[in-house]
Amino acid sequence: MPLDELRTTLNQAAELDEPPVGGGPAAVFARADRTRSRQRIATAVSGIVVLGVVIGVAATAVDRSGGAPTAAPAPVVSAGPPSAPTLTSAAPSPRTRPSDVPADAMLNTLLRLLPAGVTVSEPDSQPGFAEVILSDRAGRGKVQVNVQPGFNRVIPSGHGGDDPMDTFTCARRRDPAGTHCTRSVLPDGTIVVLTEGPSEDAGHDRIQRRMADVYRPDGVRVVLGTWNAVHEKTNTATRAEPPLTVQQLQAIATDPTWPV
Amino acid sequence: MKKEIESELHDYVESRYAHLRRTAFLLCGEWHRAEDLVQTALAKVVVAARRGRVESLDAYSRQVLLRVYLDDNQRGSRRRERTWADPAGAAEPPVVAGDRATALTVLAALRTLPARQRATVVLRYWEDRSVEDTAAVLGVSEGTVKSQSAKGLAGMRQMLAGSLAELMFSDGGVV
Repeated sequence: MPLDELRTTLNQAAELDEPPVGGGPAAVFARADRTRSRQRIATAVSGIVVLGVVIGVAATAVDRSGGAPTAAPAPVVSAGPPSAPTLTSAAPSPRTRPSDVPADAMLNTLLRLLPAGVTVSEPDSQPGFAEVILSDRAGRGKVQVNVQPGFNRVIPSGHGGDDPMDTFTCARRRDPAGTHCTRSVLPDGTIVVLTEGPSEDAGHDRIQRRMADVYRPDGVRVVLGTWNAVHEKTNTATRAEPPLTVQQLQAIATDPTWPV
Repeated sequence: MKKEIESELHDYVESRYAHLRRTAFLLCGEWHRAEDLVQTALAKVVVAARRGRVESLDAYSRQVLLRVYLDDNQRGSRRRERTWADPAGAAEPPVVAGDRATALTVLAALRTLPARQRATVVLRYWEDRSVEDTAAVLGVSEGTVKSQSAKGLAGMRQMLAGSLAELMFSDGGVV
């Protein structure tokens, strides 16, 4: 094939069944804003870690030099920078508008709704997102929630036939192979999709994910996920199963007190 | 100054989004993933540009898109390979007449190439980038670009031999 023909053919191929651009450019800036927000949180956390280390070193030095016994430094957040939110990538709705739900309100609600008897660490949040690490006798695992108000006004994805509401139909969801999915509709019209299977982010079989994807009649979407890992993007499982059952996820995700 | 940068960024993203998405589509073969790749890449570009770290938006965008694609491909190759035709299975692209069929066939052949060869072919023969530019974008030597191009085109030619022989083996020669 002469190179000109190859170029022409590639041009044709590049436009094959091309969907309209739609809200793509707007989504770029929304992602950029979220990235910046995460970077700020990471910087703040890093600052706290450094400060904690400095205080700890200083306290040790004072102690060794014969000074008055000092109290141990406050527990320092031992986690690295907060990981990127994963729930929106786990569920096929990347084109929702950025959430305005305050980070503090997100985290407080998640902490309040978690079952008793578990230890919570490494809390992290940003507008619309909150995550924590749960610990019990079985080990540590991650829980993350994302609240998307106005999901009924979601920006069209621009993909032919790719309706954002597809995420609430098991057969149309894009879960990893091997995922078990059930769908139910509560008496008030709330749609509940529960999934359980390999984690999409990990791309490995060892990391398991459970999710409750809830769509309320008022157009609010709540996505709650849990992994048997602290960092679901690695293949290091920190427990045999995710720390919450799908029933627990449903109870938390359908709670009417999520801030919107 | 900040407003000027924002305005420039918005203009750039609006004007180049479709083109970059086509590049991503040729690279990955799925519009949904192409959309994700280009949004991820452009978001990184926007963040960097707002910090004044970008000299050429176009060059940097292309570089980031390729990096995002190669990283993403490496990370999730096992999962995504299921959604594409297996190289062995794709050895018989559809034989149908017309431009659309030709495009589909070439696209199928492109998908069978390893990620870096595919990236090289797309940059060299669709983006029409020079060997030097392609080497800079991919962060490899010019010799590597030449060998990857040759291997990529040879691979495509082999894949297409059955259905587009008249195109792939004309005297013009692709390699």
